[in-house]
Amino acid sequence: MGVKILGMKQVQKNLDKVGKSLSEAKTKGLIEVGETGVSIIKRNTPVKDGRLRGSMTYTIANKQDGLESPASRSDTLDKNPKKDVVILGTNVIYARRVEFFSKTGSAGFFLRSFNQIKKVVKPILEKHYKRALK
Amino acid sequence: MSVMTTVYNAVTTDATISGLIGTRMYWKNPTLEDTFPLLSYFTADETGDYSFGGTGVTQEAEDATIQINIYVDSFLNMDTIKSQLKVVMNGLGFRQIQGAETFDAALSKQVRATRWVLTNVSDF
Repeated sequence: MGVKILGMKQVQKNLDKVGKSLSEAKTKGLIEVGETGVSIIKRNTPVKDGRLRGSMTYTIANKQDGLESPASRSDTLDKNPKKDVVILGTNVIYARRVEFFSKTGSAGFFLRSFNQIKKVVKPILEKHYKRALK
Repeated sequence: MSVMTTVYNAVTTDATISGLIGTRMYWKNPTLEDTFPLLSYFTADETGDYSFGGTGVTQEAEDATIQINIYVDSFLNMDTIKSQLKVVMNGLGFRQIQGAETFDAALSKQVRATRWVLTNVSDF
């Protein structure tokens, strides 16, 4: 006596398809988080000559975006090869000094940005996952 | 009592810290004329939104982030103040989230920034 289950190949194929589209959705979602996050950071970044604000970028899957003049490529983060991690920020040497030790009220601009970004991550990722599962 | 007042009172009445700084814990920036070591503090961020719908408008819990800067002449004082500050702030329910150190050229003093967050604040 036995039970024969038919169609497992098709089930496996469909599961693989769902897994792939969820993975793609995650990367797309993180790219949108990066774009939105950089715009939030730029809104909060204090401006003197614009170098710090222009240097704010995000990087994911060897892609990097957000760089604006007068910042140069050396002011930006190193490219991140991972598809499931997005990194936002700057490589400008005085950024840390502005964030922690500015005496003109600019201190904490990055912390405030981070707290604002935290709130948009969940709805953005939810949107992309829902699309992938339709 | 507001969070800022609670922090000020707890830090300046701590025996170890007040033994070094007295009551020299200032809001915002110290000046060259001040006596060191001393502390400065300010609000780095406060978060918490209103949500709409259901029975009406409700306020979400607020998080308060306070930055306390330690200005010293001697590294020994820096370590003593920093470790005791952690004891005092943890006792108030704060946890440290960030820190950084630099040399303040205008004051010619070593300065260490410490950031502390308290969740579910009722009076800020």
